[in-house]
Amino acid sequence: MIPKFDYFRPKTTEELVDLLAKYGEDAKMFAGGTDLFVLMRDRLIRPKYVIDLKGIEELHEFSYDEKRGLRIGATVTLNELLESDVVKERFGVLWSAAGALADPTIRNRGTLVGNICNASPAADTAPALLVLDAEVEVAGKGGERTIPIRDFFIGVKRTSLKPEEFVKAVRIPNPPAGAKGGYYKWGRTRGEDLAVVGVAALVVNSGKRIVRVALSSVFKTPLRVPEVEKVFEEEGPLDEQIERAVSAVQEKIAPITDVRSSKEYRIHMAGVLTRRALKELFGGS
Amino acid sequence: MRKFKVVGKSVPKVDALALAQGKPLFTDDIELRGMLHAKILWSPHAHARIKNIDTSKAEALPGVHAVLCYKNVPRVIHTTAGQGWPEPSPYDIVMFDNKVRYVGDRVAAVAAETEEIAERALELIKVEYEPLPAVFDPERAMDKGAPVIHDEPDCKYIIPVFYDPKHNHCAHIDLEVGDFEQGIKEADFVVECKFKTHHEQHCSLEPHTCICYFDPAGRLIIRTSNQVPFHVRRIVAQCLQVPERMIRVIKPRIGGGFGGKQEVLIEEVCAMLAMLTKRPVRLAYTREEEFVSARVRHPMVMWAKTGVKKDGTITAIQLKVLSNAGAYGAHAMTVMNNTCAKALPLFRCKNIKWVADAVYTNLLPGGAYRGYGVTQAAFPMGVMMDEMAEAIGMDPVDFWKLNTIKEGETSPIFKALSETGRGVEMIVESCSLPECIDKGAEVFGWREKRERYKKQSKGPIKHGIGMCCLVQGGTVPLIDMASAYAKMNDDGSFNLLIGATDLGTGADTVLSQIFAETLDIPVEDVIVYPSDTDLTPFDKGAYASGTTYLSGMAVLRTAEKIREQILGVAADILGEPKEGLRIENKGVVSGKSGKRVEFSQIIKRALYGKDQFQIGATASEFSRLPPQSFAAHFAEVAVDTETGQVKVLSYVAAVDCGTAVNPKLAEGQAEGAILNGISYALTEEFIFDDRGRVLNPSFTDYKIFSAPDIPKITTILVPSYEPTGPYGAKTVGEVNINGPLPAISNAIYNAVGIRLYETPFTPERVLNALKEKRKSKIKQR
Repeated sequence: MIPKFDYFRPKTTEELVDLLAKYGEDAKMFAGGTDLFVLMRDRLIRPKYVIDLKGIEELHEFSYDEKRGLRIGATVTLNELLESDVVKERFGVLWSAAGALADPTIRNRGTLVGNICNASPAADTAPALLVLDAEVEVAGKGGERTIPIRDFFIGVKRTSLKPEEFVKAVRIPNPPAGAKGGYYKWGRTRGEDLAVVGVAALVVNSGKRIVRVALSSVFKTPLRVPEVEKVFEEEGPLDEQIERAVSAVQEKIAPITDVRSSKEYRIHMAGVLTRRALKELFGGS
Repeated sequence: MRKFKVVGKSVPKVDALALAQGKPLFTDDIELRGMLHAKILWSPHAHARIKNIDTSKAEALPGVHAVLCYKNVPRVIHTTAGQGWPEPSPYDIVMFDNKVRYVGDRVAAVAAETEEIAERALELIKVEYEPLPAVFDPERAMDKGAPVIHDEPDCKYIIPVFYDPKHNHCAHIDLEVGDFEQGIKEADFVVECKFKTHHEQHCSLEPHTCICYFDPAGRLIIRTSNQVPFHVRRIVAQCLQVPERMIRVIKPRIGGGFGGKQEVLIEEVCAMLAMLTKRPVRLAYTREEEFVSARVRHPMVMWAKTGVKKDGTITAIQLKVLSNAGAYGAHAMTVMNNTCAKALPLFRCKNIKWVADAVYTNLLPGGAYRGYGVTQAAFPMGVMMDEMAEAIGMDPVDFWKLNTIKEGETSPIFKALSETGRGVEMIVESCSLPECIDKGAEVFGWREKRERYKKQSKGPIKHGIGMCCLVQGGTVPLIDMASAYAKMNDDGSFNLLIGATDLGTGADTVLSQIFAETLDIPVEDVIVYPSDTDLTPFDKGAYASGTTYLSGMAVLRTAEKIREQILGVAADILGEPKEGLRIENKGVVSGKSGKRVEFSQIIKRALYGKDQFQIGATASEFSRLPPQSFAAHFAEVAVDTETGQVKVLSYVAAVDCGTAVNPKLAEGQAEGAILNGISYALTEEFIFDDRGRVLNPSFTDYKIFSAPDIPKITTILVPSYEPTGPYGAKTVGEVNINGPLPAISNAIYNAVGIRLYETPFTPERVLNALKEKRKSKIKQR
């Protein structure tokens, strides 16, 4: 049973801006609702107003431009992302992360923007967006602004959005030429599960090595580890660099013990997954 | 063996179409005019006395019709265990008490116009608790000075068995056949280990759900998702202090029970609320309530010691069992007894010693759960067998075959103990276990894989295989009874009314097949109606794997009686003696004259023609002995030594359930049980905090296997013929859940050389065991 609420379904972003200006503090937005209604059912939140974004045509825009890259509107579902060849071929790390999130039925409703706005430390798409240097297009009464994804998450379930603001879309620039990537998720079961640890890695192995790594479920926010990038800035034997990267990750993260895993196991697995990710993306065993 | 026409065929489930069409078949699919919604207030404390409850504010809330607590409900001590009378479980619970014994214990209940109002009312109930010290560890429960959980003076068993609640001692039995110490002396190798198994929830798709209302005559109708409708009627009448004739229990379609609904968990509260308000009342558990306030598989601590000779003879077996009954003792003694009665007859050994205790703790109460104690005991026994085989250098397949009971043999355990106490002397008259072992090993590729995995690859993933054999006796002998009633209709079809309780298992279908086979009619001509205490005759309910075997025999006997009546009418029509006639394809044929008369003619004569009477009969059967179903299980695993993850790659189960009346349904039972067992072995786990609260009461964090996790499971039905069962059938509901714990544990050992004595085999536990192994190796150097 879900507590009672008033429901709005605006048709334009202007209407949405007005609704948020009026009810922002007491309102929650949703597209898929796969996080929101679970939280409401469990009485973890009791918003007075619930605003459905699916009526706003503009927010469903999903486009790719050779120069500007990918733009994913707020109501674009994860399955729509997964069906896109561009995402699969050019943004492999995101494609892999989207496919690891929950299960196909959830992904049929759940959205990328919803996943990051929920701001769980375990958000599966967040590490991928972090290594892709995504940007978040935000709008509200005060106008529009862009938040780099690295500044978007500020705490457990907290973002830098103001109550009267909403996310219009996520923009992702083209990754460096030759980049390969993947999201390595560790769950307790293969069927729908939250990440015990998740590692997104992006690797360029032509000429100069470029490596970016970000993780889920090991910090109060999804976390990119720039120290890993520094390791690969200098030349050196690959195996040694990977081990240094593993150490960098394990030093940087600060996981907790909860019902899903102990802190120690999370640290261990962050290392194992980082090593496996980098070895695989560099074409080793 | 005779040829069957309907038995042995995978006919579609009789309820399949309606289920697939989403017809309103389940308890909660009806909406009655004026129906109220009930909600229950749960204890936040593991152990506390209730000093006072103030329900006045809740009662004053508009829309609230009744609030129940210990102050306004009669104190009737009883057991929630849905067992035959007199119940072999302690009377240690009342509808509402002034004491709570675990987090999730019942404190009060509300009936209101809507669920929302009921929930708000719960928030308005003021409870003054006096927290008491709690005990969670079963090994500490009987310590001097441990808090006494049942200090009420009226708790008792109503049968003469050991009971010492002042020391949290809920049950104790021990026995020895032969001479255990002598057996140990004769052994060349002695193995001794301590084992621990964990809590498990049933996770039925449909939670506990009940709707109570009154019929025009003022009788109380209880529509409930329950495995034991007849016990529900008896126990609710007891709790409400009304005559049983005032109550009718109806069981609609059920979304799974697995033992969790062999319990009167919510019906008596729902009924009491209906009585007080004179309105229909609905009470349905949420998934969270299933986790925090229903029943669980009893966790156990077990110590096993066995002796074996170099030639493979097992000289001695000792199993000591400490069962964690939790806050209430429903099923505690009987589950505990089955760790011997239904688990140990598998082994050929003259000297067996068994000591068992069940203790109260301030955790979730245990209850019935598929396997019912055998699952727990099969784990230590299956691992000990593997260790003994290794000690004498024998392949486990050969060792198991050598040491398991055969057709025509007996076990001293049969006579010594049954689930409820007294045993029954019996010979195993049907057993295809040796063929199960051979066929299973062959299909699985045991010998070849055993060779292959002697050499492991360099990478982090190691492979291994393990096996075990299993037994599970069906029914509770000399206690359980089932019955059926059937009548013939104008067109030659039949109504078959059975007390048996189909939980989604396919019992209605299987019983229709047995009826159809006996009267040589198609299954479509059987209109089956189950589990309604007003309309169907008594059945003990769906438990102890008893339905096909026992209810099946009752149906068979009913059909046989009807056959005699049909032949009698046919004899009159044909003018021939009954003895020369036989039933054939919806008609009666004379062997002598070759004349034939159709069922439709026979019934028309009986109903309208001459010497009119209703062709119909009732028959019942009680269990004389527990038929033994067997299985041989083989598991292949991959162990990731970096992550600790265990993956089951393939699983083969060769199963002896006698005649499989409906092979597809029997396979479904086997595969469901195996999956349930694998999930229990690897991922399912209750996590409690230090105050006894369940931290993961949802599928988000209590992980059961779902579709992508399912490994390749191969079921091979290896028939035998049980002379006491219907058309040779035995039982199949439970035996297969007992295999995954030992088979997977043995396979992990084969892969990476670590023995896991504690369940579940989570990545962290495996990884820690691997670390310990490395450490001890370093020490040895």
